[in-house]
Amino acid sequence: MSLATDLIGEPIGADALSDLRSAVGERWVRTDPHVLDSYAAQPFHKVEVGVWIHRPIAVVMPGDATEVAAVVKACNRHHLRFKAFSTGWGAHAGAGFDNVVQIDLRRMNRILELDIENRTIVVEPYVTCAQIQAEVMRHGLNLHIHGAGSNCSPLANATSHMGMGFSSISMGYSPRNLMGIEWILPTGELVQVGSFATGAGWVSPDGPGPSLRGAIRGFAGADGGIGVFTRVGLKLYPWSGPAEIEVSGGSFRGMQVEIPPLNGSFMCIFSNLEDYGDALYDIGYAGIGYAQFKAATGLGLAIGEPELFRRIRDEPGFREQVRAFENQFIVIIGGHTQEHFDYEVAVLGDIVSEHNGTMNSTDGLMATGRGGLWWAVIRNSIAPGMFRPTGNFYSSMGGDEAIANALRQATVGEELKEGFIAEGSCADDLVDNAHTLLYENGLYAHTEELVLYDHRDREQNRKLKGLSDTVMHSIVERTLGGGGFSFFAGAYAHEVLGPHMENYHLWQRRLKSALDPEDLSDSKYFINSEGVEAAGHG
Amino acid sequence: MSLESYRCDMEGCSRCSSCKWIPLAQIRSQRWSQVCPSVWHNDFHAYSGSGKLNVALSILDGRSDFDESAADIFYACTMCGGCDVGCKVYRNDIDLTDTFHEARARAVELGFARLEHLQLVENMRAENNVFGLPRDERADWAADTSLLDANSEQVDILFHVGCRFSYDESQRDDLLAAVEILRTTGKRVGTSGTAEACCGQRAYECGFDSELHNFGDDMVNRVRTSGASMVAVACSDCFGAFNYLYPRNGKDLGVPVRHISEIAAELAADGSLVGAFSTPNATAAARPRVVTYHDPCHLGRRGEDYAGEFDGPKIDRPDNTRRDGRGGRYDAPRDVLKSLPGVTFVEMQRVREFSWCCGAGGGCAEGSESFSIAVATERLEEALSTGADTLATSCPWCVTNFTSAREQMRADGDHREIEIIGISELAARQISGEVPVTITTTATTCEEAAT
Amino acid sequence: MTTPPIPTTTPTDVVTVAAGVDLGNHIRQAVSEGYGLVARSSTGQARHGRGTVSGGARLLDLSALRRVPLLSARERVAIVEAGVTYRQLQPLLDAEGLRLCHPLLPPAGKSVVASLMDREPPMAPRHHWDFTDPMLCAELWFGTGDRFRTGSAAGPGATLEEQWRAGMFQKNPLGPAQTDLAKLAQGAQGSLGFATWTSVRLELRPEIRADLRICCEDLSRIAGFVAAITRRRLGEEILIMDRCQLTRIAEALGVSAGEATHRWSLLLTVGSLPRRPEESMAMQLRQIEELAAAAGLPLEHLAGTADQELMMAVTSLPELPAKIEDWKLAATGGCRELAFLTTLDRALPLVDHVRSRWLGLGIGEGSIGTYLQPLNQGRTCHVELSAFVAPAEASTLDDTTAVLVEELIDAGAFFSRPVGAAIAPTFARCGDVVRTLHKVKAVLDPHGVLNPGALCFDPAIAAAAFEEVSSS
Ligand SMILES: Cc1cc2nc3c(=O)[nH]c(=O)nc-3n(C[C@H](O)[C@H](O)[C@H](O)COP(=O)(O)OP(=O)(O)OC[C@H]3O[C@@H](n4cnc5c(N)ncnc54)[C@H](O)[C@@H]3O)c2cc1C
Ligand code: SF4
Ligand code: SF4
Repeated sequence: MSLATDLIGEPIGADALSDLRSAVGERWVRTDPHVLDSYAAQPFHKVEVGVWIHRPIAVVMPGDATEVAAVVKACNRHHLRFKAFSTGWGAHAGAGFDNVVQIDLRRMNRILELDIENRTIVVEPYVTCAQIQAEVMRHGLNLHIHGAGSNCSPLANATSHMGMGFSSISMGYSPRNLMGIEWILPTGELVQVGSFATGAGWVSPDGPGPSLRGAIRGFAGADGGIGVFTRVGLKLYPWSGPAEIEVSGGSFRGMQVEIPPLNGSFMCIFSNLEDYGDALYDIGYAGIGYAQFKAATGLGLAIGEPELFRRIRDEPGFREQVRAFENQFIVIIGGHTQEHFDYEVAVLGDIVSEHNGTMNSTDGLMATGRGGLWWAVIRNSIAPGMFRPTGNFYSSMGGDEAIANALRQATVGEELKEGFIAEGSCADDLVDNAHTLLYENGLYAHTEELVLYDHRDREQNRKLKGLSDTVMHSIVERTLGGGGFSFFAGAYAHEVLGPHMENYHLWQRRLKSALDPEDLSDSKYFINSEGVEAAGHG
Repeated sequence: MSLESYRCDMEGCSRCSSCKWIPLAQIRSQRWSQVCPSVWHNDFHAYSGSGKLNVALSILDGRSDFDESAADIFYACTMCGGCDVGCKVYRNDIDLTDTFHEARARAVELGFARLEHLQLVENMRAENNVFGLPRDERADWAADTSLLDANSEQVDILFHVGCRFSYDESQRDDLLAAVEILRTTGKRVGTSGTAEACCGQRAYECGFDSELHNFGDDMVNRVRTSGASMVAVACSDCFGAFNYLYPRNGKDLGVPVRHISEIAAELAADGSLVGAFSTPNATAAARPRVVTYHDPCHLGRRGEDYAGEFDGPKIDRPDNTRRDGRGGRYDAPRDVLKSLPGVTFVEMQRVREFSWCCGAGGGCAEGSESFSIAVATERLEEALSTGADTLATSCPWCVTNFTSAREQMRADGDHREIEIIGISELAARQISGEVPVTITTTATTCEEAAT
Repeated sequence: MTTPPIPTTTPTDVVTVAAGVDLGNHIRQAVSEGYGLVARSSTGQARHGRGTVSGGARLLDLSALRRVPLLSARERVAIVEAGVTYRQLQPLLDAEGLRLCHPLLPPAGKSVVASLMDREPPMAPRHHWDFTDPMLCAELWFGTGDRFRTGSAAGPGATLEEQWRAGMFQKNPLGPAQTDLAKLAQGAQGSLGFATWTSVRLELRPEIRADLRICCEDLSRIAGFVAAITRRRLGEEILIMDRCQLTRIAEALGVSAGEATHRWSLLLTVGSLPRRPEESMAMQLRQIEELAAAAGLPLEHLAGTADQELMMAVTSLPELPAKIEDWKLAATGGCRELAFLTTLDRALPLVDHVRSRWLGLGIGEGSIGTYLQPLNQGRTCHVELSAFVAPAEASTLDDTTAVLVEELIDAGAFFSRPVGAAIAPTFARCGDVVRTLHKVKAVLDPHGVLNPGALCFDPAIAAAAFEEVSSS
């Protein structure tokens, strides 16, 4: 792969087109090549070379769940694959094959219910994290925003992708925040999961009986491979700041905000990995923190201050000085009362000094102004900046387990990346790029090894596949916490990882076949039904 | 430049969709979070800033043809630059509207220009104004103003009036108030009279580059002849053209360009703005108003100072040579409004560099009327949501479009009241106690005049 | 229609499973000989409707699996085998300064794994992040005889020991990969997989504890207060009971029922945090006091009062008096319960509805106990009404349960873990779920040997669900 003109299938047949049009109305079906290609340009999250993925055969925009079901049924009638997305960022959101009907859920953008007392919200796919946050902050509430940023759909993340984010320490992992799901099966049947099932009028995720949450996703989501999700309940969490934040000076770089009372943001730096790791454990035990993450030094600089970053990278002395800061993380404290805030800050201070660290304000980091980084983290308005330094990035590892394992992943990750940089598979980012964060008061932790590259540099792009394979094999050989992001490499990854992980791939495939006997819910990033044994599974 | 020269920008798009929203850090509600009128109205991704890059790349890669349907997508856009601002919060290597401009230029080359745009260019060629109204009537409005004739007299300030202000009687009060403001500077103020011509901006935005060049050369000459040390404008389109497009296209006016709001703000700061409009009759107290302000794209994000081109791979381009909108003129008009008696100033949520567009730009007012009005209506909704009774702005094109949208709303049975007014006129009214500045009160829009 | 076969032979014997690894053989044998299996991990008399055999099947007794292969204070995690009871685990945890959040007064022989697989409601909403908690990973056996370890226990790392060496402690509850078979098996009453062990998240045992109580007639005020404290994650155990429920517990445990004169008692324990314990205690208590005062609720500190004993008994795992296996069955031997989920602010009309129906059936005022358990950091509430009646009376209740469940569902109750007579009316409302679960069952238990006929795998329920779709 791939010539720019590859990956273009046959035009859609007249019958199928007319069926899709009756499902959603003529205005909401497009088949003109320009519109189709705007869904086929997805350079992120793909190891193949170039910008283009498969051009969908049609794009449809249903307005509600009934229309989604009608689209899926039409696809079943015409034996067309389909792929839904919410905000649609990445190759995993687009067509994985020829002849895929892309379901763009943009019209389903309603906040359906907000239950302030019980801290839950019900939303459709095209409601973004930033929108929800803005709406609920005025009620003293907040939501977990996954690392991809507040431009993204929390429904997509919680039902279908991953779920870690800066606020994981106090708000967990996205799928664990699901409180009910409306699900269009790959066959077109509409299923209400959790308390939606019996129309309770409030939300709870599991039952009656077994939880179908288990069929829609695991640690990773099915990335569109198991039907379409049209409505979810989500948990909300407390917010002790004001209803709105006044922003000045810029929207990222130079951004300044007044950090409100009861809130604070601290960078904790340690002199070695052991102290850093022990401090993470202690923060977990202490039960403190509203948000927490390790901002990789090189990447942080590259996003905020690319010019400075380039200077540092290219000057050996300077480079080593900066790398000396690599054992650091940021903790954001949000108190319910002044006493609570003071308590958490004091405890953080205790922990940092017990481990010989230092604790500083985060003002000015990543080229933000006073208070800017704090707000960038709370709003999670950082993520698109990942593309600033080199135009693209790739994430690896991320099998989440004990902090001890997260630290091993970071160490192995650095080791591997030294090699990748040397062979030109990715950009030199000072190597320290493991992004680490805690979940649920430190019960377990996340590490991902990010690499920066430019897909426009075809040579570098070509090497990405090799890099991704090397990491995947290392996960198995060095027991690095699970498949993490490798799952999204699709069928091949499952064949590599499955045998080392309880043959999960066989079960995943059987479930897929049971729920999607025709294999129509685009399974490129999930699992296809090929190779399923006959009933009874031999 | 050519479309090809933006390939790297097109290929660089990560599809993060920041071009669809106001900057993430600035979102305060779901309702007012979108920034791109094109994708807001047309929904499919192709219409977003990112989508237009994708379409252009598809064409360059030979995956699709540059045909009528591609042109439709490029023209369904107000060229407001909201996408550029959203993108450049994060990216230094992508220039959206510049790419769209090249796509439109290609559309023109290939014969896909909109009929309405061809008409506009035709008008400009024939009569030096976008409406095709007689060029010798261009200065009629100024008959009683005793402004200097900058063609024959040396002036300090050359006031470039612009097509809409010159011909649109309905905005005469705003124009005359602007003149009063200019006079209050104590400088010698003149115009080019009937020799004044269009700035060329509206044609350029539609993909007709040569108009900008031709009118640009003419403007450069007139400025030189006038001896002015400053060009003043009251129209934001003209401001954007002179301040950004001209230098980018090698047209050096040789003197700074100032918008009337900047001049008024300075006067307000030293207390002399009041002098512009205090009349012996000004006995009535200023009418209490709740005013909100609409940032015209071309005074704001599209009007910032041109900072030159970066000579190197764009991925290494520093911030200060990008067009990220932050250098637009945002504070001056607000300072003026806040200084006015009787005014309680309230902000909308989409302001400054991430303002929502009025819908008139990019040839949409001419070529895609219903889209253009829908965009303006959306802005009126936002203005109304603040509780404002007055929507002030500093561009006659915005005023026109908002006024049309309000008329449409009325026709549709929506009678919520909001007064739409230019900032100079508002200053005059508040300071003078509502004494009209105008000489003629019968308002004929230029569209009416042209038909 | 995809429905699992119902085995034809009907043994009723009991086989004790000596080691988890034997389970595969037991299942394969059942498949080849065509009989069903039911697993039981707890010992003692089961509460009505739970752990019972729905059709003829061999009972696999897992209660002999009593090892605790992992207990780590650093990682705050343990692995417990299916037969380990709460009371067996408690001293081991005490020794490490740890605790496991558990449900209200589990019976003496209650298996931790059984309780977790049934998503029983734990009493400390603060630590209840998700409904699967405190369960993390599980070792499951499917109806094919295959073993499957879920979450990060799946690997990589072929053995637990290998995983421990690599710093993996079976802590990530999700997956592996893109499905979550543990979530399917949980709440399935053994119909989609048997668990031989699960890992559990543990909490650090607070050094200092305070026992607080609020007595009040008005549940809505209590609900507002609970919403306020759970929003801030204040309090460890938080539970609400009515007078009858408290009295019955006190009687069964042989402790004083205290002076509760109001209808509702909110029992609230507060624990110090691991760092700066005194300071943390004062900080939490001050917030609780302020919030109670703001709600106009009388907050009582029970330290040193006669009522503290009952409070301690209810919120921990007290020694049960001799011969008492389960406090619920202590007095009459025939308790019936109706349990469902709602939100605390929606609970009262549902509670009153059940009470009025039961009172109408002649159940005495003093025999109907109500227990409200905030869950999921306070977002949801488990409602449990108990009729402490003699076995004969109990069957009268059973006859009316189905209608009552329907009424409750109409009024917004959600039977997330339906048992007994609640099963049919609940699944009748969600043919979509039933049909989907049948597809899942066909994968995880293709021969239908796991608890045949349980839940929506009851042939009558299945028939109705598939009928619904064929007629639509
Ligand atoms: C810079 C960056 C950082 C990131 N960091 C993180 C991180 O820290 N944590 C994390 O969890 N993820 C992270 N991601 C991944 C991110 O979650 C995905 O890229 C995601 O696709 C972006 O979200 P989205 O809202 O655009 O979802 P979409 O692109 O809309 O969808 C995501 C996937 O879900 C499927 N999908 C979406 N909606 C539906 C639906 N309604 N029904 C069925 N399937 C659906 C899509 O097909 C797609 O496969 C990161 C991505 C980026 C670009
Ligand atoms: S903001 Fe820029 S990078 Fe992001 S989708 Fe839009 S054009 Fe592409
Ligand atoms: S210029 Fe304005 S209308 Fe056009 S794509 Fe950009 S934001 Fe949308």
